[in-house]
Amino acid sequence: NLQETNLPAPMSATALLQKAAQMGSTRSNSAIF
Amino acid sequence: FMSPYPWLKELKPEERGLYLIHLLVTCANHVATGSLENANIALDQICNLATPDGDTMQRLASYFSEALADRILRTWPGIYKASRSTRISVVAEEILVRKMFFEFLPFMKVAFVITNQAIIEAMEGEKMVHVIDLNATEPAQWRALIQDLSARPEGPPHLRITGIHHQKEVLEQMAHVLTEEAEKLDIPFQFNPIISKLENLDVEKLGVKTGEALAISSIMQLHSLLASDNDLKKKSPSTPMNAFGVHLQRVAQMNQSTLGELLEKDMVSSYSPSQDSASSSPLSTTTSKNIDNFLSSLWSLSPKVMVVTEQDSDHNGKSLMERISESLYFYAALFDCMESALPRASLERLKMEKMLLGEEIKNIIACEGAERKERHEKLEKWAQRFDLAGFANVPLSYYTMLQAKRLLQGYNSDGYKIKEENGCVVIGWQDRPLLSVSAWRFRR
Repeated sequence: NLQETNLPAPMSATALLQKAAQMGSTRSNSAIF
Repeated sequence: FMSPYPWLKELKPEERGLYLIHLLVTCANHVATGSLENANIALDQICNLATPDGDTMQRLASYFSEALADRILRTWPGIYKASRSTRISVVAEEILVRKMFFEFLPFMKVAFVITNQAIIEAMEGEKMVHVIDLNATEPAQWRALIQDLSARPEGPPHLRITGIHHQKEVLEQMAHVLTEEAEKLDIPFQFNPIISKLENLDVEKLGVKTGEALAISSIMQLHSLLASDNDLKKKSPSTPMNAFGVHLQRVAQMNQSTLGELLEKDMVSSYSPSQDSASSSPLSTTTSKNIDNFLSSLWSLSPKVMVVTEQDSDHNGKSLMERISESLYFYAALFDCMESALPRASLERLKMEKMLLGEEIKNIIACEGAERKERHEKLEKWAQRFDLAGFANVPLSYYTMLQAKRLLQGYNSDGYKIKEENGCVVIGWQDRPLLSVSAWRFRR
């Protein structure tokens, strides 16, 4: 889809791991976990 | 073919990355508990999202899922060996990819600069210098040392370099480059090649003579000797198979730990040793004949200096789950570093990620016992071992640090970090420590 021309800076693998760790431990019932 | 999961394509990169992490940890749990059918489902989903030429998490997931699949396949040694029986390893390719790692990323250059400076300072005024390289791969390291020694105020010493490597071609190339450089600078020089793996190196063959000042350089090698005695007897994780496809259900005591617990204990292990990541167990150095024997044989050569570079991360945990948590963070930092250094379409980047980092990940995750060589450990574990083996720390000099810092500044990226820690140096990417360099001397 075109409107995402200026993509936000992609999250680094490290940032994703840290976010996953936070999400996993807060027992959030988001769709992914 | 039509992807069975159409909604996967709509995932934004961040959602895809988070889902890949979830799938990897879930898959590892299934592998650890022996439920291979579930592991198969997770791997199938990962393969729909991961690709070695995508973003960093997609690349990371490709190599970790490949490593988990490799571990599963090792359950059936016949199938495993047959599936790899026609593999060809091209030595020239391996030499090339190591050269790329030296050229494109600063890690090896910084390790060389620190190693050489520590050797030069320890060898001040010595007439007969003998350097033993436990992993003789890059001639540029010793060419630089020859140049520095030839410019010494007190004039060049007699220099002997003993290079150990398991590939003949590597040592031949090194001999040629170094001999040529020494002749050009007119310093008395001798290169002594030893074709051998480190684990079966016979220390007598090193030909150390009395009256020589000895320096030892080890760059990312000693960890390969950490398989302890009981590991050596245990074969790789193959389990008796009573019927094809039916795999003995290994009920591990590990319950289904949530993603958070697994990753949380290693949120961000910051530099300062005081709040080091909890995962590095305190004093339990694995007592193994291998490394302790080797270190005491090096000690018996009474080296003036031994400079050791090692990956600064604990990838030698007893269980798969421990290792996968630490190595995910470590290799995520390295893949992030690759992302900032080289474009995604770069073939050199792909080769380095596959042939160097991917193979390390596979060894850490898939192998056990003597086959598992990438047993990286933290600096303080190594410091304890060297101390026990009769070595004393030689604090790296201010000038050494200065040279290393200047070199890193040349790579216009503020991602590279360098930090002094009790006389040693830790090099990292952003908050993640990656390499430690430390110098030691023979203590009577």
